[in-house]
Amino acid sequence: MYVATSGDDEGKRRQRMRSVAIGLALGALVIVFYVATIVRLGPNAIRRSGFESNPAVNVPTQQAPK
Amino acid sequence: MAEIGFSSDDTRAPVLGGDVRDYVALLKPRVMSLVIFTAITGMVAAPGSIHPVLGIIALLAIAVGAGASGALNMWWDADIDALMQRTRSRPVPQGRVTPEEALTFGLVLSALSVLTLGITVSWVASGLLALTIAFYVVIYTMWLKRSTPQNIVIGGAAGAFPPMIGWAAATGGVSLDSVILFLIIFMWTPPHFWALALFRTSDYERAGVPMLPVVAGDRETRKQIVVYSALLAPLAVTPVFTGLGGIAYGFASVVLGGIFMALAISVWREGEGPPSDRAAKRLFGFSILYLFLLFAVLLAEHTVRHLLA
Repeated sequence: MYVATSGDDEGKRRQRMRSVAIGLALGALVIVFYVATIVRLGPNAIRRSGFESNPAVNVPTQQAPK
Repeated sequence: MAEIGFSSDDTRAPVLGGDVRDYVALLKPRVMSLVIFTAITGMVAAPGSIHPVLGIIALLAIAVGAGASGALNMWWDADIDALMQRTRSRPVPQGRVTPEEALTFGLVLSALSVLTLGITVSWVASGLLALTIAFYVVIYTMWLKRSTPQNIVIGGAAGAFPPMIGWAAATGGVSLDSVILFLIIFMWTPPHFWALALFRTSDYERAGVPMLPVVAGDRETRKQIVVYSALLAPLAVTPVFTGLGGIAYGFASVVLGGIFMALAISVWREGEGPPSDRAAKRLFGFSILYLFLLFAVLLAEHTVRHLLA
């Protein structure tokens, strides 16, 4: 039979705190990789590959097959 | 039945799962702060440049990697930590974190820190961080610590790597200057730890750790402290000749080296008993200040150089 003890509440509280800490750590890791990607690739990170850098032109750089 | 790790024959505090603070303690925050500081110095003193954001990420990864090796050390050493006054309040011997939790925590953080440093900054720095963690956990903790009085001489290499990792993060490689920074910490480690061991001999004796005073006695330890201090003091001046250190560093390294040497000699001259303990405590305290000031001056010089460039 399961008997509730004051340790259960304390155990659950600690488990909740650990879960929050793991969640925050994973969130921080996502931010670290996002920021590092932007820093390393610079403006290229937000350009679409295969298109001219001038968004006004927006024409594929590769020629169409003849 | 009441669950969560209660054991009827265990007189320790029941394992409810550690608090977040216990996991922070597993990372050895004080050691981590010295690691971060020496890594910053290596990074700033290096001739290359690194984007500030990537620099911060590199330092974060180095710090987490150092903390992870601390957690793995506490996992392996829980039995002897419980016997030593200095370490018995750590989370694993206290039963607040299970050895399995400490192991998992250490392994996950080790993998994350090494991968993060490699993917975002430099694979050379990442490789050095992996080497540091492996050296500290496998070579020092699992092998040397319990088997030879030379444990901290060879194992000290693990603590000497951080400036080299910082250097590699900034330049993508290592050079003579980064090796000199490594050697300074490498040579500093034995007199620092042997001074501690001189006034904590009973602790190490009880735990069966073959530190030099336990195996070879106080007299031999004091002699070895002088020998290593005599090697450290001139070595710490060499950055001046390679151009790594400037005038301020040269002045600081000579003065601080002189004080270090004088304190080491006073440890050697004092006989047994309380005066000997006091001399060892003075040297231990000063050794921390010595390394901090040496790297602080180097860091300040290079920060000024960067600002004026």
